[in-house]
Amino acid sequence: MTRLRSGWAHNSSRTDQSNRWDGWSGDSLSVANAATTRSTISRVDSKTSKESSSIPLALPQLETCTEQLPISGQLEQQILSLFQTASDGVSEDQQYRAFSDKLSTLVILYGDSAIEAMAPFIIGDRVNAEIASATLNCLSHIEGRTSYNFRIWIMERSLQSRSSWIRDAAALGLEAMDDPAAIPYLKEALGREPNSELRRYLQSVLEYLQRKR
Amino acid sequence: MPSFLIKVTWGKWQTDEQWIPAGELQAAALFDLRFSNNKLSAWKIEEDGENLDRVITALAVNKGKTSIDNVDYVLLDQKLVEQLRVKIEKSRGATPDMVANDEWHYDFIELTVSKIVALATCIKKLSMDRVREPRVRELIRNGLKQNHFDLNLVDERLTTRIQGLH
Repeated sequence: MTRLRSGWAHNSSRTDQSNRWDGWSGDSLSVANAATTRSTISRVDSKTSKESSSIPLALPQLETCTEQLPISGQLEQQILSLFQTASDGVSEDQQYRAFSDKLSTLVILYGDSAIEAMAPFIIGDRVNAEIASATLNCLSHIEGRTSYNFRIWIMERSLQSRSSWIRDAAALGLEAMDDPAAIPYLKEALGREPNSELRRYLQSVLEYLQRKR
Repeated sequence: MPSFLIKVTWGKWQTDEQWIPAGELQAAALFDLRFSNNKLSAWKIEEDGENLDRVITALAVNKGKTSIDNVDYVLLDQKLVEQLRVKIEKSRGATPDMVANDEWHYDFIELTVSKIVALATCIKKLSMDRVREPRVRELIRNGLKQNHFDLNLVDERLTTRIQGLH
């Protein structure tokens, strides 16, 4: 089990080192394999450092191809399809809008499960930085409390990405979500940030959220 | 001397992805210099910067925008643009702010591949500016109060968000 800095712990029963959380390859076969690997994240109580809940991050493999897909299986497929379509580009307004609409619909329909299913793509570097950033941006703008904690979690976790583009998108997402609860994670991110411009942005987001306290 | 504003996405200009060779830019950066008919859209910012906020607001509520986001941009000094031998032509912008469209929108015209690459190389060396989301919200609020832009020309999802600003 790897204890994550964001206060979540990641448990994985995977033995295949090629499917490491921080370096999955992006081909569709490994995406499909990874989607069936049992994995969980656990909320860690910041005071007691004990796990307070455990959330499965992926689904067990289906036994036969004729077996009816559970809703979560359909979700996995829809998320995969979402990111496969996005690989054609999300830069054009129309492309971004279509991506954003589909992503928001999935989150509204499936709630936390949708974020769980997206997590390996975003945190595991299985989509490129542009798509990951667009995803974080969309998630930060979903209105209301839908999957709020999961959306905050994925932002916080993305602050640890190897890509400065994704780290920046995560910081902007946290700013857009306007939640001072993100302050400790932003402080940690600021402490380890190697990019001077991004450090400046993180500092300004931090100051903004501190004023909101 | 005035300068020309080009809207960019900060992340696209970063070079810390492992696959990007030293001294190179990722191709995604070129999307910020997207051109049609060999023209690139740019906004003239007066020397005193007085119209900067209004241009930022116009870009923040531009067609196709569905949420309130930060605005990243780079300012190219007019002299620098001339040094790159890029021709500049006055044209009408297409944002919901008619004054900004008429007064400050220009095109860099007759662009060639080498000029686009020269522009990209130049932008990479310049420092980028960012108007963060809270400030963009404030600018939109002020712009709305002063009727700087036509809310009917704003995407309806963004309109809902703007109407929710207080």
